[in-house]
Amino acid sequence: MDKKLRSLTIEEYASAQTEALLERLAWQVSHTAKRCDPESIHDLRVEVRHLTNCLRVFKQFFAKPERKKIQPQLQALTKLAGEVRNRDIALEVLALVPGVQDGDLATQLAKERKQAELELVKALQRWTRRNLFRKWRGKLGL
Amino acid sequence: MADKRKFSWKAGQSSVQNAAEVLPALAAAFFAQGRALTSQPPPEALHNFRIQAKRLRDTVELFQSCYNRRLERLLKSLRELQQTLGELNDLAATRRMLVDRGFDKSRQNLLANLDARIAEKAEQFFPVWRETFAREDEARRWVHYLATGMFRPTRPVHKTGRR
Repeated sequence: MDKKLRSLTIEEYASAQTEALLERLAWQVSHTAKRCDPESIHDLRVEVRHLTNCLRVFKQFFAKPERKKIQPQLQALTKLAGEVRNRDIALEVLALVPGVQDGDLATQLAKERKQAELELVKALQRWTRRNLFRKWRGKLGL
Repeated sequence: MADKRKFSWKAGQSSVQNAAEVLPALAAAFFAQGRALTSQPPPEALHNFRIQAKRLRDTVELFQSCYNRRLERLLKSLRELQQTLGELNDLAATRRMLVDRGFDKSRQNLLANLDARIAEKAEQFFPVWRETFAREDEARRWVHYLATGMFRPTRPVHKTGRR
């Protein structure tokens, strides 16, 4: 048990956790923009989910207009990452189906994945350039 | 529907005290939803339950630093359950993707194979649920732990003296 965190009031705890998750997401955004492999895409989705859940769970401690501005941006990122992830999963699942190796389908999915990856990377780079996380920290009062 | 619970935290009180008051109800709702699943649940019910499991885990993990190390044991069993539900979701998502591309007519073999794997995976869910979460007292154990697990220190490991 973390004694320091344990001694915090719930509102201080909410701020500390949100800040930590924002930092983790910021790191993951820059990491995924560089790698864009299935693992980093998955990790990005996990980090977005954790922050989204944190904002939902502790919503009483954040101003509604600010929270409402952040949520759609997180949703947009989830959607872009999901487009890549869905292709990764489909390729993985189909590779395991015996006797139905479909070269055309795999090629098509790989092509679509590449396109979805390009769009995701563009969005991630935009996020980093705009220094979105620092802005969010200010908006959330962290 | 997955439970979209609204949380009501008591500002000014400690995180530990708040967690002890709020998280047990979240676990109770998860167990209630699991118990309500029939032996052959429709895909939508399993999907909703997967979301519920995810919300429980994410929220409990937010408070991990308030609890002792025993929490990890509970989370491990939840992760195993999520693994099965996640694999099932992956298969269903791939099937949907293929149907959206018109594969229902042209590649019946592929879809039949996926259907068989989906059914097999759905069948794997119940043994996992039965062996861990549906055990007698398991819901009570979770609820009790989440209400008190932060106050009890983890018992130190003693060397047994065996060689």
